[in-house]
Amino acid sequence: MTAVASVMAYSRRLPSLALTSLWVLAVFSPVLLLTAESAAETLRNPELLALALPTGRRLGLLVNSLGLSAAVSLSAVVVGLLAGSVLWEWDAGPWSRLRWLLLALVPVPPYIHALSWMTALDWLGVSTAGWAPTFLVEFMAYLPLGLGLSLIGYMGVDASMVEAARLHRPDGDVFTRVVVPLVAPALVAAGGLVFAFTVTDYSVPTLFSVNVYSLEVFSDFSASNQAARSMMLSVPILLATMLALWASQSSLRSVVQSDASNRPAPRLSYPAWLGSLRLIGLGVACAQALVLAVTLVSASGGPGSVVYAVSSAHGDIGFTLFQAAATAALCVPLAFVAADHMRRGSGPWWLMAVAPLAVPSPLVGISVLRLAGASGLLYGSWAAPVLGTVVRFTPVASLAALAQLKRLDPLLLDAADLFGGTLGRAWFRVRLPLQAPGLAAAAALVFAFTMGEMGATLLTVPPGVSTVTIRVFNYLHYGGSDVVAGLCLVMVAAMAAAGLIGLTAFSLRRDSGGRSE
Amino acid sequence: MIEVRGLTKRYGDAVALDGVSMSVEPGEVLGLVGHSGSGKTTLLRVIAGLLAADVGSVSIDGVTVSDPTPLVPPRLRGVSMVFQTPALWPHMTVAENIRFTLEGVAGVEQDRRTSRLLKRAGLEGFSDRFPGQLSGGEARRVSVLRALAPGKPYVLMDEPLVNLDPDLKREVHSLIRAETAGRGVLYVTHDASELEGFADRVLRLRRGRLED
Repeated sequence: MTAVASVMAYSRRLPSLALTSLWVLAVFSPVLLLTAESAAETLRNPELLALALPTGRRLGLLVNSLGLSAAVSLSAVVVGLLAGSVLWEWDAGPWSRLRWLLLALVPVPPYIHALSWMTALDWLGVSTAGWAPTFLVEFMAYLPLGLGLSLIGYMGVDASMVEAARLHRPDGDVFTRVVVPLVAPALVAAGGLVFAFTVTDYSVPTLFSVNVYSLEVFSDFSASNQAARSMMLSVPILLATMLALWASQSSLRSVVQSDASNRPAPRLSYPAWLGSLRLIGLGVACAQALVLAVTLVSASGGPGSVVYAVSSAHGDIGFTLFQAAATAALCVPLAFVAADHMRRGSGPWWLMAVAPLAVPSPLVGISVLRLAGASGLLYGSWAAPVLGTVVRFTPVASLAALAQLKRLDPLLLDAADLFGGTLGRAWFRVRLPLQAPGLAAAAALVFAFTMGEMGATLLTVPPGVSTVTIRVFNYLHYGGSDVVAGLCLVMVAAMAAAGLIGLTAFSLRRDSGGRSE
Repeated sequence: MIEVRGLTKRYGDAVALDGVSMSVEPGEVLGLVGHSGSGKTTLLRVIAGLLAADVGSVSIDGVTVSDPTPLVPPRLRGVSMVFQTPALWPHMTVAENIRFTLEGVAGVEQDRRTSRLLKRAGLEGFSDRFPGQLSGGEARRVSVLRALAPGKPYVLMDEPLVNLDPDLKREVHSLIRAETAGRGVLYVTHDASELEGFADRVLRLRRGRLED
């Protein structure tokens, strides 16, 4: 009897074990293989170690890159905090829908913002080279992320805590001493993620003739084709991003696990100075969306040009859609199992699930190439770029799936295990339907992010194949044109649509009944 | 005296308050009993100035504070409130939660008042703990202390002792009685037995209307 029970218990865990193995294999094997190869190569050639400790020009480059990323993340957090406080109050009527439009721009990649701001700066007769425009574009590109996370933080604030404070203190005090500390975990999480994304991005700096450390990694690999060198060169960036993610990990956990309050946001009476800052923050957030829309529409030269741009790039569009759909399809089951481990597990599972976010995109591409070379299976096939984007965006899918999973009553899942009969019945009749909104949101977000991915895809696409992103990026080096603007416009529309689908799916909610008053 | 006249509040088609008129005298504990959804919390939030009613007015000690638009901000109405959940600020210690309500009180007096209340509630030694380190019953008692500490003339209590065991309820009732002498208390609960021997007067609220 006992033996039968233990066999049954083990067999119930088999699908989860299989999916966990697939998650570890797909997401971590490329980078682990590259790490092992690099370690072996470094043992043979200890001089490579020196690359991990940048000096001279590289040290200056590293300091500049870290400074740029810190400034961008700090700015995104501050403006996110101010503008988020306004959007928090837009919780009813048409404005409540408008705020999601701003957030749907999260997946729009920085290089599209770059094209948009290049056009706008050109109109204003301002220089489009150097650190200042690079900062501006990176800040605008990651502002939706900062704004989105701060809004999630605001929506998680218990209205009773704010009301309790309002009975004793002026509203300005209530905001600075109660609301801001309650939103702080979301702000720290936003700062960490924006820092990690900015420090690993080279697409914007290169368009504005600025050299950054992650571009150095890409350039060195292009020149030397030595993966171990690239790995050692990446060590400082890896350390910085891991440190940022580690520091913001507990904050990210509390943000993902917080639940939006059902009560309307309290309407505070802000002092004039704070009210003005909030409006300025909102203005900056709206400018980000408006500049994007106005410049791309006007530069695209009308519907005819857009149609021409799309028809001339139909092959690239086809592959881009295929890559995005395949990545989303693969990420969903991986996110399902990763979210379950994150829900049950503690720090190490979390760090493992979000760690791929810390790896610079060129390094992901290089590691996929090494795996392809070693296995002989993926080389030159469509599977290589898909694996690259799976590695990059499974953490995004896992966080989206987990955020929805945490909103479910855990007793529903326990009851499914207890009363669901066979494992298949429990999974397919209870777990999957309950988790479907989170998984759909994960799929939509991964689809949108994959469409704009460049760092890993550029290195892994098969010969003769390109994506819309690569085509646009190549065009951009020769200056903007109506074809580029038309393609970017289509990309932004598709990404925003996917982002909106993701947000809508995420907001779907099934209650188990018995809601309190 | 808190005077409520003809308060009506709707949420869409649902009527939460339907022409409610009542008063709370200084020095009395007025119990308000009603089932879930009867409008108890809405009434307290309108009196505190946290919510605007659709019709009616509220005056406190002769000053009209809502007509029905809130005219006086919550902190200047002379009311304190205990919420359905403890609603303690998680980033502040127990002592800081209480001291935060004592704006304008000298630091030494803040310390004295906080220590005295914590001792009175059997929570001495808890002052440096954060809300996350408290049990449910401890958190509820701290939320009551936080409302009592500033010594405002009126205290609104929204199911403050739900889920506490009977012995602890008696203790906290005695604490509330002692600390609110001369002040008006509006105590809301769904459990009429909780008010026996505690409230001076009891009103019943049913579907937004006061019953005789």
